[in-house]
Amino acid sequence: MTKTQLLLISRKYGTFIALLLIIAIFASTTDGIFLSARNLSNLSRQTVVIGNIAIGMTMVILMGGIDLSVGSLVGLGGIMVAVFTTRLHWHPAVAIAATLLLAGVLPGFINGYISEKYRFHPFVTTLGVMTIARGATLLISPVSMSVGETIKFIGQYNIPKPVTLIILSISFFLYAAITIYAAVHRSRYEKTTVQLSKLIIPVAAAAVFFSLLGWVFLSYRGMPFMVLIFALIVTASHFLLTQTRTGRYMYAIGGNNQAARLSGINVMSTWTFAFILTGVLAAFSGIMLAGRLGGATPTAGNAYELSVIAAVVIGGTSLMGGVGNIMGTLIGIFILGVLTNGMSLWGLSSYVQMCVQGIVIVLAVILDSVTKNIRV
Amino acid sequence: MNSPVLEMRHITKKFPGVRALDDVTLEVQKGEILGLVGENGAGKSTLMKVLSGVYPHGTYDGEIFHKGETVRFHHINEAKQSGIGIIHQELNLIPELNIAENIFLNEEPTVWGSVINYSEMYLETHKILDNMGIDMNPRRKIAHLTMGKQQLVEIAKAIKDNIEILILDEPTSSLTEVEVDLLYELLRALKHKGVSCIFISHKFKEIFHICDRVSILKDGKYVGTYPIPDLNHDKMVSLMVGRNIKELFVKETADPGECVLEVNDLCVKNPTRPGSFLVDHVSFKARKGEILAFAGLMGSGRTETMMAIFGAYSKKSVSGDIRIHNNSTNIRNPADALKNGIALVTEDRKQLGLHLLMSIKENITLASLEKISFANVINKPKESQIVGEYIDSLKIKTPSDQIAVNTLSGGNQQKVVLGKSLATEPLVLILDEPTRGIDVGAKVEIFKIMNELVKNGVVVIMISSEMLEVLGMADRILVMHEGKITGELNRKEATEEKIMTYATGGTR
Repeated sequence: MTKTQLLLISRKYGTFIALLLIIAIFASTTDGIFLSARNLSNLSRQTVVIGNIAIGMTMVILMGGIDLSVGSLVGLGGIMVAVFTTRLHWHPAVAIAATLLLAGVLPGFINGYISEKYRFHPFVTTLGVMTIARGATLLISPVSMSVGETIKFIGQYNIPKPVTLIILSISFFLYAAITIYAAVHRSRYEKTTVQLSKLIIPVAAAAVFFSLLGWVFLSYRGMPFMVLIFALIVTASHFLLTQTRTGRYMYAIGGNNQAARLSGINVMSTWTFAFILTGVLAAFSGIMLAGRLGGATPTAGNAYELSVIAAVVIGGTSLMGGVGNIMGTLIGIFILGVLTNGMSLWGLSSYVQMCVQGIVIVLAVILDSVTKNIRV
Repeated sequence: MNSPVLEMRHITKKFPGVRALDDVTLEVQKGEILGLVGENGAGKSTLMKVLSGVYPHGTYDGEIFHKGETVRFHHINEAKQSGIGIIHQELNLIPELNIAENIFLNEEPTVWGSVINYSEMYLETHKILDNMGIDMNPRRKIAHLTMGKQQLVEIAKAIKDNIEILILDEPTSSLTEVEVDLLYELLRALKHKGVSCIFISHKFKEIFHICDRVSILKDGKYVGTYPIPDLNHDKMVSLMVGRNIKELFVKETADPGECVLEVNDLCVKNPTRPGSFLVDHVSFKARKGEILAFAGLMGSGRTETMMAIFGAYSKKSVSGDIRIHNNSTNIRNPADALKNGIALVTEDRKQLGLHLLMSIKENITLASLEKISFANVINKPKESQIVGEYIDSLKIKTPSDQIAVNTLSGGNQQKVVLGKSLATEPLVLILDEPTRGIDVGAKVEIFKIMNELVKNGVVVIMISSEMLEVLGMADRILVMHEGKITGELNRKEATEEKIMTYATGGTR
């Protein structure tokens, strides 16, 4: 294998291979604790909170923006839903809707609209909103509060094992069906024959992936409800970015803002939409976190924005805009999650963990810039 | 004949997809002014960048001899040390520094190692300017000088060291007549001192006035070098353009039909100088079945006119009435323009036209995704099909529609931008410098596409700085000068001289 081929492979699968390597290392050094169903189930629950936000952040960074306010919105979302459910005794659906509106849509709109309208970098706007949101959270409640039962349910409920099995099976068959349908449909349009390898490999990979999920969730308590929601969000976002106009416009705006404008794209609305979506996802993460822990803390989500941005960047999304995708971010989230989990099992202090995370971020960016400019 | 002070032999320079210079040879004698002419894209500037070390040795093939010895410049500074200085078309002065600071930039006289000796710097600047016969205060800021004076500062900067060869790339393009005369005097004085000049210009009058000999390039190839007395205007044109002028412009005339676009009193305010206009009460009509060309010099307001029609400026700075099929429009942004059937192919393809990292397919459909989407979801098979049709009809050379456009040649990139505009199915297609930086073959193809569009009833408006292109393709020519339309010519009466007269603000 030549050097170029090697670089090409690492460009395409580098982070994925890194993830597998990290998993292998922890699997072989923790006496099987890491690979136990119980640990992996907990790991999935832990990564969902950060993962949710990282999905929105992918779109924002893809468009050449950044959102520093997400950590504060996690805290605000948690406290708000706590106030609405336990102090004001609102119906949970109303409480959640109001929280998503006030701690998600509103700050997201301010982040996007103001930075676009007055043409300054969202770094500044979101820094302001980050500070305001944290201040507001502490104003509402300087101490921790418990949340309503429904909120706890969202964070703690596990889907019964038979239902988990049905959900996973349906998901797998849906995936396989869509893959095959798309390939056949495409070959008909382009008048080429279907390449079997392009069908078998993704379907086989999906079979392995879903079996793994099945093993983890069926041998320990069933699938966490949070994980199901996260999976739906990931699927919807992937669809948004790859199959819709909005997604295409996001790539266009991040790749060349001026040219996008001159192509008749409404930059303002697409840009604002991405920030609103990120805000809503952050507020929702706040609700889920509060539910999982059974209560909301005003300082929850502190410095989450950095982990989120790290996950997105490790996943190959360019801070310059125009490049990136959901699958990459997903791998980035898993890398950070597995590292934290594995190092905790090793008994390393959180200070050491921080250093390692920092090193991983820098390595990921080096890998990206080394492999980015290869042409064949 | 003496041995030449400078020789360039068999210079070949390639860019991805284009051979900018192909086996070019150039000789400069001591104390002569050598004209260098050729169409836009003939390779003049590239050749001079090779000579002055902008393109370092190794990025081109061929050899350069300076006073009989091989030289290999790896950096502009090395060329400078050998006495070769270049003044680029765009001035390279720092506006916020003063004359002396610019002239001695990075070569400041110092004391104690690194403290600038200002008094000596101003004294030296005085001397240099005196020698050139210019009366200017060395402490004056560049930003406060006219373009002509700035040009003189550039020359002062270039000749302050012992210069032997001075390259001037279109030095007069932004000068007034008085300033041009001053420049001529300066060049003659330099010539007396034995300095050789290479003088690049599009203006034949200047070439005949100041040069001793002239070298001609065409499509990156060397045509020849001729003493000025052996040449006249027509001969020079035919050498520059070559025999294929007829083949190049495959103009098919169509009968002009109804008026599609009508622009009345269009004004664009100048953001940097309140009270003045970039576009000053421009009115015109464009009819079905015609190619309407906008001619004029750089900065005459042509691009600004089109950008304003396309809604690219904020509504606050634009006034005027734009009508399509006699219905008035309210164009606030490019999206509105596209909805009204106006499409624009911008002059700056890479900055404003393309998404370089995105694929051919994504670029072509970007402005017309609504047509192939159900709700918000893109119909991808249909997208591939439509893109396939454009790749075929525009003859875009590519193995697949998934290729990122930054790997394509200039000509193919231009076709992608064209495809993007065409996919919006416009009534009026505005092309701003549609053939800039693309090779001759691709130019002919673009011209053919323009003919085809006009035949299909699309109104084509073309901005072009290439005179031959304007004369060859346009049915009607509007000439702009300082934001105003100064003349209108039809295909039969148009000549290069008439256009130039209007373009420089003269009247017949």
